[in-house]
Amino acid sequence: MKPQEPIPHNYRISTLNKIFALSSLALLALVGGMVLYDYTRGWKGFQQEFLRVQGERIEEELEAARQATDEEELRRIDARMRESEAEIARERVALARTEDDLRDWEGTHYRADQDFRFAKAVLDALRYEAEVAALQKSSGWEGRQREFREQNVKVERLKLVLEDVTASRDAAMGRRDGLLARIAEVEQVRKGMLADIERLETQLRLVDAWTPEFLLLNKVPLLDFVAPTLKIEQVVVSDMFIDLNYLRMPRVDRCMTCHQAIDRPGWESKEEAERLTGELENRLENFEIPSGQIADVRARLEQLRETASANRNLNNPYRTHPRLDVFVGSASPHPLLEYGCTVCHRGLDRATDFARAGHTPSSADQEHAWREKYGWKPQQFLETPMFPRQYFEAACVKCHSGQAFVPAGEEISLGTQMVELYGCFGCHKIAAWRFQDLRKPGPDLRAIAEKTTPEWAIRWLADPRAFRATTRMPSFFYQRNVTGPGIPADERAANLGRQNAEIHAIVSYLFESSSRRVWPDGPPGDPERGAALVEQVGCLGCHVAQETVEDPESGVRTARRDDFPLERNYGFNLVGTGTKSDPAWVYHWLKNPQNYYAAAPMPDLRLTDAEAADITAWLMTLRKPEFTGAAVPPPDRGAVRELTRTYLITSMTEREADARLDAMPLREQLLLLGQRSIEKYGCFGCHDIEGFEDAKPIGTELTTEGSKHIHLFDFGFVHDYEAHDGKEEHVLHTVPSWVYTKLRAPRVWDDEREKTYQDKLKMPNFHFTEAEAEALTAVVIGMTKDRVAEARIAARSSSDRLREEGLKLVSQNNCRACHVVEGSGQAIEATLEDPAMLPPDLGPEGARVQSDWLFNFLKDPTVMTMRPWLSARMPTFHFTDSEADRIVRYFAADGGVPTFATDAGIEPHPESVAVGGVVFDMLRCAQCHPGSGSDIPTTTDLASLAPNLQYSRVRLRHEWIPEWILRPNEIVPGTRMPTNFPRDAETGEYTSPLTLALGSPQFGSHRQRLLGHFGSEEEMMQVMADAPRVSRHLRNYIWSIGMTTMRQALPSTGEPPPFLTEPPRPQPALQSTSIGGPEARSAGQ
Amino acid sequence: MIWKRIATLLLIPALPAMLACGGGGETAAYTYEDEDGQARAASDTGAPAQAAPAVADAATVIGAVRLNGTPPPAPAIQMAADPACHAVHQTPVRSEEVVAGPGGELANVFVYVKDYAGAAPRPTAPALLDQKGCQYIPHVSGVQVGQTIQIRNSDPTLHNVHALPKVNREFNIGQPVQGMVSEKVFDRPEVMVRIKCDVHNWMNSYMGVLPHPYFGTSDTQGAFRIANLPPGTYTLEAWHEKYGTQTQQLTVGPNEQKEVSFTFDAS
Amino acid sequence: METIKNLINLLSGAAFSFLYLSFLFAFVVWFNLMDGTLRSRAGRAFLTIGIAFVVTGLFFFPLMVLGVAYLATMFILAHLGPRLWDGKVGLIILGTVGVAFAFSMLDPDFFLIAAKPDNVPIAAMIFLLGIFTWVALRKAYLNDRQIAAGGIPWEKSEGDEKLFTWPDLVYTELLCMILLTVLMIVWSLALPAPLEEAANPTTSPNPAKAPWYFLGLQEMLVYFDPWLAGVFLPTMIIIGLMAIPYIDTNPKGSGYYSFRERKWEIGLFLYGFLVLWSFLIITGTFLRGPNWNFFGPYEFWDPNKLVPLVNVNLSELIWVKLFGVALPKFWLVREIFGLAIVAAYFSLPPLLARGPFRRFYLKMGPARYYVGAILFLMMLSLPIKMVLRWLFNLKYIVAIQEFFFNI
Repeated sequence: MKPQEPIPHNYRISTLNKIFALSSLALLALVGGMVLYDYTRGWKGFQQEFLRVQGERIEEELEAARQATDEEELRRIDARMRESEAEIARERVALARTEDDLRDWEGTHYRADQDFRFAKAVLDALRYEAEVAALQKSSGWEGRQREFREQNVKVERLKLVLEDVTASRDAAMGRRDGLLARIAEVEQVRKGMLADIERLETQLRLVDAWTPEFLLLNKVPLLDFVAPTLKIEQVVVSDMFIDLNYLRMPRVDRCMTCHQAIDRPGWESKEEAERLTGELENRLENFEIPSGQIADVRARLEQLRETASANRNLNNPYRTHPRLDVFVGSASPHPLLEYGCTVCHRGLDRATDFARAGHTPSSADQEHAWREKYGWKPQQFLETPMFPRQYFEAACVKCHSGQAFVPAGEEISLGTQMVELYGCFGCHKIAAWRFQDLRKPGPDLRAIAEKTTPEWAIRWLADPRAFRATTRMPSFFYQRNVTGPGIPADERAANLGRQNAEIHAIVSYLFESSSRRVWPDGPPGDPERGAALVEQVGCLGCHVAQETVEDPESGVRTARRDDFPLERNYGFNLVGTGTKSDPAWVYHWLKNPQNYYAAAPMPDLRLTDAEAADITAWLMTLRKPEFTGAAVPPPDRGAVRELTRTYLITSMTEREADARLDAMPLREQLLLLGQRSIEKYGCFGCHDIEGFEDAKPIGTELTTEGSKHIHLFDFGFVHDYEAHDGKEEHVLHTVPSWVYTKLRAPRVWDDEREKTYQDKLKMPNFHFTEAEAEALTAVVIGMTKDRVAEARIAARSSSDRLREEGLKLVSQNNCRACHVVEGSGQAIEATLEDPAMLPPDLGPEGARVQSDWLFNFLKDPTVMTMRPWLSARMPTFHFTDSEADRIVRYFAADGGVPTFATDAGIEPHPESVAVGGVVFDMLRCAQCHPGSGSDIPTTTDLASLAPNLQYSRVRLRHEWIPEWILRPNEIVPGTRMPTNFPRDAETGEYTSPLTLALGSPQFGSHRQRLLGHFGSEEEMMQVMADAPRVSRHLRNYIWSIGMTTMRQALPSTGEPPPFLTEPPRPQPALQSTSIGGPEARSAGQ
Repeated sequence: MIWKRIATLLLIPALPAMLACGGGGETAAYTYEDEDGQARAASDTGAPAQAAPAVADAATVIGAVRLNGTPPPAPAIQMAADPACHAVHQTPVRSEEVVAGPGGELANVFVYVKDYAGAAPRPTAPALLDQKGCQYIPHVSGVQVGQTIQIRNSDPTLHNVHALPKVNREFNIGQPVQGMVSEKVFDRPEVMVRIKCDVHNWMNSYMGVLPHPYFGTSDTQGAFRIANLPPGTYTLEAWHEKYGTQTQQLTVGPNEQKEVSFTFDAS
Repeated sequence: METIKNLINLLSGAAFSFLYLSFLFAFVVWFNLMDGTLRSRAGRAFLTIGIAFVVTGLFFFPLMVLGVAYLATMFILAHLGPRLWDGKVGLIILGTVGVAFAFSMLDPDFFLIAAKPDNVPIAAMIFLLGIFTWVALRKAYLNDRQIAAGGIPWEKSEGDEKLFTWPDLVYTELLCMILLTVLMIVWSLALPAPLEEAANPTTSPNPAKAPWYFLGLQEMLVYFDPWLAGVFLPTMIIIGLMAIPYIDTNPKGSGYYSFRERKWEIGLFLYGFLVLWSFLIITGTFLRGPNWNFFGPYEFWDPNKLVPLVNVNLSELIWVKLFGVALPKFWLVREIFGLAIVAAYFSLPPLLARGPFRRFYLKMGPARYYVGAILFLMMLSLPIKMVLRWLFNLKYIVAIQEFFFNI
């Protein structure tokens, strides 16, 4: 049996062991690596940093507190404690003494009392004996009587003693009680001090909890799952879902994982803190804060002041949301838990990594910084990148697109208004309520020949801004991609000819197709008076009449649109009207614009013939001779032919086209080219033009532009460019930046592109400033296809819809030119020296006036003249019933009052009327309010008049009047109505001057008259001191003197069309100009 | 005995008055003084310098303002509108826009140190703005930030005091009671604050609000005086309702009495 | 430097690299493993091909470059001879390739694609592929030499030895396990999988690529009618793979590496796997950019790049270009030439069975021979089609849109 020979191993086991050892070690190390990797993820870093800062801050505060306390407070407290303890000791000694004293006195008192009572008893007994003795005439009765008298004296004495003793005893008692009280008090103080110290201690403990210590188990990597300090925080919003075409996912916003303090007040940046401080202070001063919250607000103010003065300035991601009052805050309309973050900001909700969260840089610098700091990269597949910071308000559109003005969204509201005013919707279809059924922004051109000449039109088209620096008409021709410096010389030369040809063609077409009604000349007028009138009747609310403005830094310079409020750009700049328009036409336009065309935006100011004539005369003086200097050169025939050909060959072969052109006189070519050019440039988007009634808008639809993928935008080769105003702009590869660039320099994308003339970009240049472009960009990128749950859409209830419809009309008819609506407007203010001449602020209009009255007044402003002294006129807008109704409903809804409530029927109580009457006289209301039937003669001075109160009953709402009397200055800041019942600064209570007045001799008679209506003087004084009640009495008096019916609105009677109904067939427009003309004919042969 | 009467009258509104004090902004303090009760609380703001406490080696600026050329004719004010006003005056009252003496001495010019940066003494006495004969007295005046302004209605008619400041808080109070005094405070510097009466639209007053007491208003002699000015170099600005502002540099040494003069051009 | 890169970009046009790769590959295998020299039959054959390249290169520059490079390689290999399978040489080759790769990584555009987290493993696999192919062939070479010397293959020589399960087997398995885990962790930490945006069916990325292992199929779509590339050929691949055991009846070479004993089998397999499958995957992964355009390794993937689409069908070539007449209306007449060519192509097997492939025919018997031959032709049809497309812009040989039938 031989032993089995050993089988050799295939590997050296020792080597294997080594390998094993090494690899296992490597594995172990890597496990550690994994943990570390997880522990050092971006968001954890942010959280730790935040915790650190927070810890620091709390500690500092505590330190400061302790310093304050320790240094002065605590020392003072200590001192006070010590002295109070000493005092307590002293008092206790005194107390002891007084108590002994008291006990003695008690004893003495007892004794004295007993003596007295006994003596009295004896006295009574003696009296009896004395009497009996006296009756029986027994022996020695005199003696008894003497005894009695002596006793009596003794009793008297004892009584005095007793009183003294009692007094001193009570005094002793008082002393003791005083001492006790004092001691208790001091004890109280000590307790308070102890409490302070206690609080500090607890806070200290808090701090310790905040500072991340690795010794604590819950801070150790991997083990911190027990109770992690660093953890992902998220809000799940399901009705603000993410819409992935086929399914709706709830949002899971994790932004606050890094933005830790977003909903915590007190982490603002310095400037934020300062801004908020200012706002809050104002609200406090204006009594806008309910008394219940005042304390909190004061505290918040304190906090803000500290933040503003702190040496640390926080930056993102550690900041509080700057608008806690509107967003994120639990009391705000958009609380964090309901709305999350990405609903508005967009971005990638679930991401917890800066580079992946969809942050979008707002500038090249920021982009650079981010790349450096966070390794930021554009996320090309992210469909909802965040809005850059200058476009945050774009987010409002998503839910608020149903509102004419977004509350607290000033920029977006402005942008929306600009889209309406500049008529973006004319060329770009926008399927949004806000931009539906709006009037075309430009004037009707179907009768252009009646008001101006082809020469003017040609020059105007070539360069509108040369004629009116502030015009809204964009420049279509001679733009950078056609004749700009980047274009090679030969091509530029050719393009110059082509552009000129197109201009001539368009003008020819317009004048050819224009109607030619003949307007009779108006009466002669006086320009002086005209100028005055223009300022008085309110023309300047909608029109600007100046070309230059005074600029603080650059002195006098050409005016820009943004030198004036949007409302004043509503009408055209009156400059140059004399050069442009035919006086007869102007006269009749002024008389009644609707005669020229029905949809004219200009309302009827009810000008008399003389007034109209004067204004016409003045307008005719506004000339720009330099504009109509040289004669208009004829179009380059070659260019006309060439361009016409490009159109013809789309429907026929080139030979046919040539044949056709040879047979076509220049004029026909022009007309054809004109028609096609109007198609090309989409003039009909803004103007009514014969033959383009149902043409489709030519621009890209913008309804969901904000959701368009960035790959669908052509950035050309542009990175940096110079805008029309000479500013250097930079293009970021983001949609907002693209849109902004497109608005600033619409044709910049053609730079360095090889394109044929007809293929070049054709969006006109509106010469938007940076601010304008930004506002518009916000609107455009705000229009996304993101959707939210129905319930989240703002203003969707039927009543809200009515309200918004009305508001839309307000915006459409430019009411804000003269009135304040939704907190802004009164553009006309700049043109009036005397604020007393301003048209009324309509902020409270809804709550103020009765619906019937408003309806009447809107339909026909002549039904009532409340303020005869106002020179500006409420124009007649020829509202239809439904329009007027919508506006009325808006105001009613705005004032939070029922639309259909007629107060006129209410009958006040005669007693109250009488009282009101007296107060009315005492406050001398009649001094300004005329026709109020009172003994004070009214002043003849119009400028110091107030509305006639006899109108109040049909006009004002019953519950409104007392409100107004109480706080006019709060409802309409700056009103001329004096505050008769000023509020007390502290309590906010109304105070009444009447009590004072009734105390003064000059109101003796009133006093008598009043007393008649009250039970007692006290009652009277009580009522008179109660401002709200007084104001109700006043109201009742006013009510009693009011008229109860008013004239109904008459059907609007505009001037009847004055022109001959059958106008003579016009000779061709082009005869009059150098276009076409004889050589045009010859061109045919 | 008259004092007793005043005391009782003061008692009635005492409560709101106390509450109101120190409110800073809107104060609703009523006091009442009968016709002859001169401003016993209020100092005459015509010469506010006395509000500035005496400083060691402080300088004094005295100056004259005159008007070149013939002043425009001051239009007469139609006071007939309100007999209460009309009755007070025998002669027709003229507009106070330009008040110039025969030698062109220009009154109602507010002269103040524009760039005083030093510590400002707290205002002591309140300033008085009186409404008498439907005119503001004084027409042009100055107050210090935080200085109480007592606005008194000495007319038996309704006045409303409507301040139209730019930076301060606007107010507009009615004063139906003769002798009624409302107290107000401006808490931000502002030159000038226009104060008007909406009832009598000819009534205008201008008030300069400054953080220091170094200002003065020219009287009918065109003379003004700024006392107790600490030595130093300052910019002096003169403001006139119609002719705008003028400035000039000025250096004053200790205890110096400096003379300056401003000249405005009519037309 | 730049010029070289540009040249490479130019040459990396699929057809050229394809030709180059396939010829080079074939050359290496035949020329070297058969101990051939330039004087051997194969040697002469490849030499002529190279010369042909250069000659045509006179008219078409890229081919010239290709030919020169090709001949150069050839001479190098001839010079190396069997030393190619020497370990050192192997390492040197690997090293040079690695250096070249590393050097290329300096190029931003190359880096952008090669360093993409999804691509890194594929790049790694290319190296593995090369290494393992080389190792396998080396073993084959060694065995062949032994067999030629009358010995037995190395695998056989140690065939009957016994081994301990423990530690020899299990221990090593454990080690592999650990090392692989380590590798995986390193990999996952170095190239973490990101949390991406929610996918939206309506916006697909450009280029939209299949998973890397299917990119070969996707690439085929470029050259064939979807029906063929997407349905027919894949099916045939599967069928073909299933058929292998029945077609390949060569008993030799099981259990050990050998080339000489089964040169056709190995040759075919490697050709199908490396050239057809792997090469297409590489092309699809690294050389196909936005809009499925072809980009050289050093080219920037510009989404706006446009390549002229001037592909024509054979019928057009013949009728219009050649005869100068309009296309016949009737499809049969129109496509007659194409059909003829296809018919001819698939009638090759019987002809070859008479001619050069007679011995295969006899050895395999008709059934296996024909099945194998048809499958082989199909394999071959891809490169043919590619070359036609790349060199002559030939779209379809037979294009009968009437029945959606295109070849």
